[in-house]
Amino acid sequence: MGTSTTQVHNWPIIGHESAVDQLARAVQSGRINHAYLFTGPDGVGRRTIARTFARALVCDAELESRPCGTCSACRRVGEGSYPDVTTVSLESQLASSERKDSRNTVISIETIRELRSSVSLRPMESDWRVAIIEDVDRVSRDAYDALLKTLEEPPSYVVLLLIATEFAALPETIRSRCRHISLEPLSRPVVAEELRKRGVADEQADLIARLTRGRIARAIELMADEETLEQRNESVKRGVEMIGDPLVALAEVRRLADVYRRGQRDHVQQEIDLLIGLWRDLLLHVAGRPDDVTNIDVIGELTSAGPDWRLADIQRALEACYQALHDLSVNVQPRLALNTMVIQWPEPGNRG
Amino acid sequence: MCYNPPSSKYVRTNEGNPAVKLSCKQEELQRALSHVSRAVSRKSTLPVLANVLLKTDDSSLKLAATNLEIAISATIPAETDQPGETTVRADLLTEFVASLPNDSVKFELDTAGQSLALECARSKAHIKGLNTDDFPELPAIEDGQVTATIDPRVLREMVGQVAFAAATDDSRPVLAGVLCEFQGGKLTLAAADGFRLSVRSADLTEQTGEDMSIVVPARSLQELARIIADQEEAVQLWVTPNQSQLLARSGSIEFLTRLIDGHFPDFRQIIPQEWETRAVIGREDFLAAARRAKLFAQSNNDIVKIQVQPGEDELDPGIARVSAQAAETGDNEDAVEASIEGNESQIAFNGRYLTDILGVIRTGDVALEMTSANAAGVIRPVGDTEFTHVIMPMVIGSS
Repeated sequence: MGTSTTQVHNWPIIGHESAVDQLARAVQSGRINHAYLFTGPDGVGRRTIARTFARALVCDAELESRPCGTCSACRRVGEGSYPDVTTVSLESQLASSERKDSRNTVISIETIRELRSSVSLRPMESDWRVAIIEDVDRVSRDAYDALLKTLEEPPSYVVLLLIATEFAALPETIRSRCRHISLEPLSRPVVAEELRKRGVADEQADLIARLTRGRIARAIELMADEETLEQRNESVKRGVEMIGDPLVALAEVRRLADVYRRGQRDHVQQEIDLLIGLWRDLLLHVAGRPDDVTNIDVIGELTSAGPDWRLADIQRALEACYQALHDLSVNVQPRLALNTMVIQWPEPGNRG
Repeated sequence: MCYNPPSSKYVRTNEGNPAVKLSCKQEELQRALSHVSRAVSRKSTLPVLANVLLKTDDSSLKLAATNLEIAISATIPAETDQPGETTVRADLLTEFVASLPNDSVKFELDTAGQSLALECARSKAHIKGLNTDDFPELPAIEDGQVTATIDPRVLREMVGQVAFAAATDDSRPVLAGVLCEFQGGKLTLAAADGFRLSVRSADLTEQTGEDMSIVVPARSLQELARIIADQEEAVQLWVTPNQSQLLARSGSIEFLTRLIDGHFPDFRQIIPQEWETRAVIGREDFLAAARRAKLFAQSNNDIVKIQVQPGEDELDPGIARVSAQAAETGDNEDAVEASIEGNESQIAFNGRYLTDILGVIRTGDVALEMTSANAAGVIRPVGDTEFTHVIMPMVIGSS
């Protein structure tokens, strides 16, 4: 219809209004920067926005209604099979690597060089060649220089979309050559509302929104990931029991120490992070900030484990947890580090 | 007339009869697959790019594959009852068809289930397919769009004489390409990697488009040369209006490559216009000597030295000594007859560059033109002005 719409765009993005507005205007006006840098915590929606921007650039529809989401180009960008939109990430690097066993911890100079020669080929179907570069924080030092070359003199049809976690951690040379788009976590009600729209029950939606702390993409992922949610529930239940009973805590850290010795260090670290989360919740509750509690589903059990938790005790418990994380990182014997942690926790029956 | 509702939303044609039937000759299918599978992506993460697209039309079967840099398609005659399309794994289909006897191959394509049934002599197979929706849209040359036409043998020879000189690393993308200059009915190819330059021109059969220059990835051009090897028909070339792709068609084969963006260096400036010493040497003797020297040069940075010495008189034209030495391995020298104009001179080249160029020249004699030991040397076929090769010398001691 010929009437102008009140909304300037139809991007299927939840929140991030000003970022989307800026990108949608760029598409509609045709004034596209040669490089954009999206920063924000993992799971906040950086990739979704970058991919939607790529869609909007190559979409077959009229400028005003891009991305239409239904044309062949939009669909294939989503599938990752569109020839003029390339994605580079640690994951893609591993998939195209011949040495599957190699440690895939940084994006190598070869990967960036390959990307560079790939974007030097002119577009196949659209007017643009869009390259989405994820994990820019993990680009190796040599590869930064190669990336810089591409950023300095890209062919006119190239749009580079860089994705990183922390803006400040990137080299100034990269930062200064990109239009920066910072993505902040969304508010909890917005995330919860979106989950409810997708058919999640009120209570569960609220819990997932709290657990993911405004990272909408992570929330949507978690919503459908029953296995992870189940594991989380079990870990939390165990954590509550540990905090409520020193004997359980001692038995449990003995198991964790074994797990740690068998090499599953990340798992142990996650368990300690979870305990820290529980102590933090207790602290917030006792300090009169119940609305900021993350593990809302167990806060009742936590508080009832002892009638009068004292702030100073909780603080000591938190310090002990952080000390344990540090001790483990400097190779203190795991059993000793973990025992020391729980021994310093306040005993629920013997407080005040 | 009664209206039959589609039995499934996936069936696009001929409702009520979802299976597309088709038959073609094993020999033709195998040849088409061998061409098309050259464009199949080897390391892509996208399953559909490891597949070959099969598409039936009135009386033909079109096969196509792409790795998003090049695309190759081939059309073979086939008997079919209705149009249909699918994609199946290229390696599996190619190897299966290659193993079949030379007989008629019957296909049955179940468009709903994306499954392809094949039958030939006593063998049959079912191959699972993937929807064609994810397969890239490939432009094709339409009649009247042609930029130029050229004899396939000429194009093949030109590519063979030029493309090897392109850079193989990714440090300067434009040097990984071959410059193709269409000008006044002539095609000139040029490639350079910073150490050598190869330039070859030839007459086009016909130039219908405007004069223009494009840069084609060397790999792509070599692939094109390979697939037109058994073609008799003139190669039609078309550069898309936005100069993003080069398409080629010869007979039943179509080829597409993306073009490289960037300015190719002005190669004409690099070719030395004068010389101090010119040696005309029998190509085969020179190549054999260079190959021998290369054996010894291996452990000394591939340095192969050429010393030319003019003769005393008409009966003794002169000699070119091709030598190499490595402190740990040993040394060798070949004395090759040569007719020398100008002064005694010497130059050293990378042995591989020398064998590369001598291996692609077709004439009996080659001319080596030098100005000094530190200036670029030029190698040309004697009696052919269309081919020029320039090599930067390697620096050697004054001994």
